[in-house]
Amino acid sequence: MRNRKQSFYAGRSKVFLSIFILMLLVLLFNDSTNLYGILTMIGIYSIVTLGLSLLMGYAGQISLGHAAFFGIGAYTSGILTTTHGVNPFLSMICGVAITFVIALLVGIPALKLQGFSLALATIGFNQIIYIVIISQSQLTGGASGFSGIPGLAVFGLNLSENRYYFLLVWMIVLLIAYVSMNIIDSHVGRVLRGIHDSEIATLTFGVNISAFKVQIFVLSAVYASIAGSLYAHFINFIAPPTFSVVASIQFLVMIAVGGSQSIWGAIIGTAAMTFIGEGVRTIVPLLMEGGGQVEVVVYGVVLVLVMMFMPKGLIPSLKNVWDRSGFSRRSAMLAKGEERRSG
Amino acid sequence: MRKKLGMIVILLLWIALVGCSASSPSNETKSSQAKPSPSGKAEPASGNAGDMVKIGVVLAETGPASGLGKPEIDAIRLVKKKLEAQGGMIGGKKVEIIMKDYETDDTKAVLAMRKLIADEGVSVVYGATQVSTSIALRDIALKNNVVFLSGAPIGQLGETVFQTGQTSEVLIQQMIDYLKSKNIHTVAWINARDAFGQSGLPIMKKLAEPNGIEIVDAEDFDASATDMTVQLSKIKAKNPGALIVWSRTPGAGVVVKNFKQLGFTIPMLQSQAAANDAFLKQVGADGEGVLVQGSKASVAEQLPDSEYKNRLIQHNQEMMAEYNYPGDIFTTKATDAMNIIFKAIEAGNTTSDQIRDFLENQLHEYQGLSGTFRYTKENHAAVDDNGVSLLPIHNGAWSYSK
Repeated sequence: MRNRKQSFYAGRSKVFLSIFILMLLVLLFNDSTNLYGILTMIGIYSIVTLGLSLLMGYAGQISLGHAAFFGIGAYTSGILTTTHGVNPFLSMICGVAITFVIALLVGIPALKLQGFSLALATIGFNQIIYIVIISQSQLTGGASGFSGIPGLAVFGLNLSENRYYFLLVWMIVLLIAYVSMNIIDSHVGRVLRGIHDSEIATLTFGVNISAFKVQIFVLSAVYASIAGSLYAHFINFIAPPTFSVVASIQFLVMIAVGGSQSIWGAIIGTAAMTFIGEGVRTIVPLLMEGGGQVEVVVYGVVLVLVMMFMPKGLIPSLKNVWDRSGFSRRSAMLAKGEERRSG
Repeated sequence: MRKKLGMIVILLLWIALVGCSASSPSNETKSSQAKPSPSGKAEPASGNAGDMVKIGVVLAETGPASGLGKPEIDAIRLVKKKLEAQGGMIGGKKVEIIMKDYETDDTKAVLAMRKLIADEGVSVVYGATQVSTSIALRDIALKNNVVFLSGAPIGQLGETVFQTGQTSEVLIQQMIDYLKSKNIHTVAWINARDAFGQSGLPIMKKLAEPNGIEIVDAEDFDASATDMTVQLSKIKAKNPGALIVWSRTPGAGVVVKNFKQLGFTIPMLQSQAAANDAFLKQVGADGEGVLVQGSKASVAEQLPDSEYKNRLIQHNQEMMAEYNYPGDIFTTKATDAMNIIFKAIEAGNTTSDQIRDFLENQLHEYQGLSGTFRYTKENHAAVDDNGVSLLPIHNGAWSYSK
């Protein structure tokens, strides 16, 4: 049990607990709608990047089309709830079902490709979905966007209150992180890492690699679809640009910065890039005019620096610092004590 | 052990959820994003404590729509500068303008709007540069009962939503009147496949027939396309008397280039979204004779003498001094939006409800830079077309012909 957990990064309970404690701190001490809004968006994007991290970091397959799955989820939820009055959670499941089918149809042929061709194919797919959304204006509102999407409510509790929505989204993030970890720690995870390192070697072991690739592609698409549904109910308005190839690229940037070889890298990268953007937007106007341009520059500089000095992303570097700090052992003991007390 | 941990996490989350729903009993979640405040949620968290009024501005200073958003935000900066030079007071009230650049990204616009309402407690918001974004912001404003002045033409307004700048109906009617004056009865239409582009054709179809105009062909193009030869060739085959283009730059400029290449000789009419300097620079010499629905500020010097002309010239001079470019349709629209809000504050209105009431009942005929405002309770978009005109491009500059 203990040594199986050594497969990637040990001590997953620590991370879960620290995220959890952070959540509690935010809930206790934050009263700003805006911070809840930002954290909720980080959560929503994290769900997408968690899936991408499985696909890219573990299985080694690139996708520049995940914003399309994000969009399919968002538009399915939006149209079903707003136009047809379907229950939001049912709509979310419908979105997942539709995404499942589309991802299967796209994944089977596309994943026969490798490298650049695969990247191009997924870009093409993203573009097709984008054009469909714009042109089917009867259904989707076209370029004007689709407005009036209701908020969520559970057991009579109105979740459009930012505080509750933040909680809901992060519970889902933790759940999905947990599921992803279990996948990585199972034999599937080993196969994926095998595919990542050498497809041919894995093939010679008699593993049906294409089936595994498609499965993980579909799973990551489903994650993106769930995130899309959560986005639609949070922002209450969706428009095509949010689901363009540019958004797909931004998801990749988040993973590259966080580190694609770790589940937590997806979340760290998403949070880092979002907070950098927010920070620039808050600080720059105090010093000079034109926050937007500066943000683009800072975004680019951060990406270049990370690629140059931390090619594996932030996580391994952070982990080094952590391991050297001598704090890690103590915190493990603390976590144990925590378990004993609450168990 | 791992299973146990999962159970514990879920259990703790439950406790937290229950705990915090219990910890904020004052939350009557009637409206969507409100801070739990002791006063409940009868009005948005009023930043107007005592004598303070906050105005929110959400525009696309950067990103693809910046060609339109930058002039808007610059004009508002100028207004803000003048306000601060007077000590930031209007009618004995401290006025603060809070500007947000949403970078042509709807998500950022929505979050900024929520922040302005819930955290800053603004009474009124002006935005957004694009049609689709304005629709998103409109919904938030209605939900929170905050006055929202939409700079972009959105069809449906609402109880607390007004539109500065003319409706597309008014502007297209002006184009139709021009065609009739030139005895042209057939017209072709081309628009971009974005929110603004798609908003025009239904209105054109509605207005064409009663005015005896026939739309012989309607084409569209991708908003980021760089060649419209195919669409224009189809249009050429139909032999229309004029062409109307409904797109923002750069698409609008590409149409001009292809139009010249294909040797068209008919008049071309462009929408207000092309009425900026970026368009003039883009089309260069190819633009000769193209008519663009622009602000009279662009041709202020050529107007017949009037008090209105003097005000436009003054606006242009101020813009020139500050930013090195003159006023246009976007700067006048944004300036007017701020000025009508200032008028409301001057009359002693600080809350959203008071400002709305003022705009509906007491603004009467306000002579703005972009046109005459005639808001009523029934019509939240009544702005005359007297501030805009079809400006022929002549020698790479705007000219005026009446």
